[in-house]
Amino acid sequence: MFAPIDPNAPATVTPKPAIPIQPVIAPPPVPVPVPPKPLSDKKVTDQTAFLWKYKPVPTDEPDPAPEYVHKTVNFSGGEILSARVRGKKHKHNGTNCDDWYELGTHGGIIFAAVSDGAGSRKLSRVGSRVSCQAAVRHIRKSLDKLPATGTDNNEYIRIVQEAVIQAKQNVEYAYNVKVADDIYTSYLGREPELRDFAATLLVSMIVPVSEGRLVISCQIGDGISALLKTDGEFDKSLTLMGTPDTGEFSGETDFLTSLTTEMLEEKTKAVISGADLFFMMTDGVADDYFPNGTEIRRLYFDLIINGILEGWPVDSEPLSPEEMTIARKLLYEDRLTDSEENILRGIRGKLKFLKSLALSYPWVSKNNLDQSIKIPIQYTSRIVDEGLRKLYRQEDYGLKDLWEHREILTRIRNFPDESITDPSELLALWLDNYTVRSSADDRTLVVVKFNRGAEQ
Amino acid sequence: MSDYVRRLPVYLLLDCSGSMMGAPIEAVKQGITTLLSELKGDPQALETAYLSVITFESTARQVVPLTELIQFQAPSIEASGMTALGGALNVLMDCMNNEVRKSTETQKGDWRPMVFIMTDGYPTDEDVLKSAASKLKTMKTANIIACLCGDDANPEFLKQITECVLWMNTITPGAMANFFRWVSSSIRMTSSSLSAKPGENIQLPPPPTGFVVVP
Repeated sequence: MFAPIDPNAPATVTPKPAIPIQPVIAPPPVPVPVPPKPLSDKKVTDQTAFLWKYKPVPTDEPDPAPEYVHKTVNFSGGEILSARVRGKKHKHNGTNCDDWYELGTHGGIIFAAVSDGAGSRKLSRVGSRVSCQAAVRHIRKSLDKLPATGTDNNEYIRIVQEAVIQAKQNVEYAYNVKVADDIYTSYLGREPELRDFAATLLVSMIVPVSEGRLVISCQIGDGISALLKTDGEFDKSLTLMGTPDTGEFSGETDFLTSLTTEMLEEKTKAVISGADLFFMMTDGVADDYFPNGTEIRRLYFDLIINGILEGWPVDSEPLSPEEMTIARKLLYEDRLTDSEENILRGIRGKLKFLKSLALSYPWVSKNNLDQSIKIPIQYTSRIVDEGLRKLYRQEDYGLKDLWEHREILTRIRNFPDESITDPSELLALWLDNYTVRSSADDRTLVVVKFNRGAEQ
Repeated sequence: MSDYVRRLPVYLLLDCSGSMMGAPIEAVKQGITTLLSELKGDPQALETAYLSVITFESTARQVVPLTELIQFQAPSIEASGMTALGGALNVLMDCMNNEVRKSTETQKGDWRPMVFIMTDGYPTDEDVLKSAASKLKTMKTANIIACLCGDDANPEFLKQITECVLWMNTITPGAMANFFRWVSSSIRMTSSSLSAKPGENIQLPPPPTGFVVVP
């Protein structure tokens, strides 16, 4: 069975056919995935511009809201521009606008309420409308009852706070009425609840007083009101009149329906101001100028370069064809020869060529179903990023630089529609057309322009 | 000067275990293709949605990082091995911590992320799953939908991850396609109503054909 072991045989071991010894190879490292370099927002919106559709305000749903509203109001202290438009997402999905606003004047006093109904709530447009109507109605009635002189500032603040309470009560009243109405039960597929009417609310009143203007704002939810002193230093020019409620993630915000009177105090702000511009807006605009504490100045610039607010008189010499060629080369290639650089210095004063930075996308409108009408819109951000930074060879050229040289803007002004003379109508056209990636919400903006000099 | 865009992050957690070999994993690949072509025609999704794919078999890993829809390419995926669903949840939490932006005073936050989990059977890392699921639930940072495809298991185990559980309990051809078409509708529906309050259920379309909601 076993061969006898020969003690004299050499002690060799005959290797069996070997199983090759595998070198220990570590498993291939799992490559950590790296996302591709993101496309510029413009490249994305260039593609989506033709995909946004217009579907009319539904006729088979209760409480339809008008989709395109604007109004200019003159008062003794100045002028109010205002507009509200249905957002791209509502136009695309064929749903109602959820924003609303109301304005009022009483001699030199002005007041306004602006509201944004919660997007996920199907009756929020009712909430936004009835809250604004009640707030403004309460302020008007209260002011009518005041004596001609001698009203304390605190009295005005009280009136604004009461207006917010009245607004909330009016929403509850609307709920109580509609909960019993079959139309709403069948619309929602269940009985309405108070939270179906959830909406934000901003209420402001501005009263001329001896020291300037008393500005009172109360803010529930997101959106913002702000004062801008255009003849002041950059750093002191902007005062926010509210702190938006923001949750951890975007889109989480408190609503009027959950307001308690205890919360009201911290949501009210009153200042005496010498500012000449006042803004109130829903989140659909406020979110495009974030963070509000710095970027509302850019809103001011956008209103100038789109012809809604006036600029300053400048004489604008046209560029020669040679200058035009160099200007285009600067914008789109950014490589100039030495002699071209010399000519560039002369171009700096004549900035009209930056007008070509306007973006024209199809107007999403019932009057433009074939997408043939395109509306040119100018953007401060593009003027700075794609134009002025290159022109001045200054990487960090920003809002402050522009503030200190804003006469530039008048040269770059571009009217979305040259035939419109009413600034609020132009405001509506701008709101309806300016494009920011991911910004598809309803937009409401009220701009109060105070006459300079006169403090009454 | 242009500021950050608010994004809707969407994470797809896909079971690539051995039991998915063959027709099921092919159906998943086809489903992803369908999902992409539907989403890429929707302007809201194109501007807002960012997608990521996490696969799990014996291990779990993120095969496609959070990528804007317009540039998103379907990953190549294969099926083999076990079912590390717990591992997938841990990878998900890491990814969300690294990739999802929270709102700050100077930075716009992303919308609340959506997470779709597709699995065809019980996990093989139950202990890991238990602790990962409980950690995820306390974080409350995402809208999670879990879906069991097939009749090899009882979907109750998915309830530890989320209240929103779907079950395709009879295997029919086209079921996977229906699931991915439903994922596409859910993303589009959420893109168009991006203001859900925390803890509120987001609105989802009715479950896909052949699927039931697990109460």
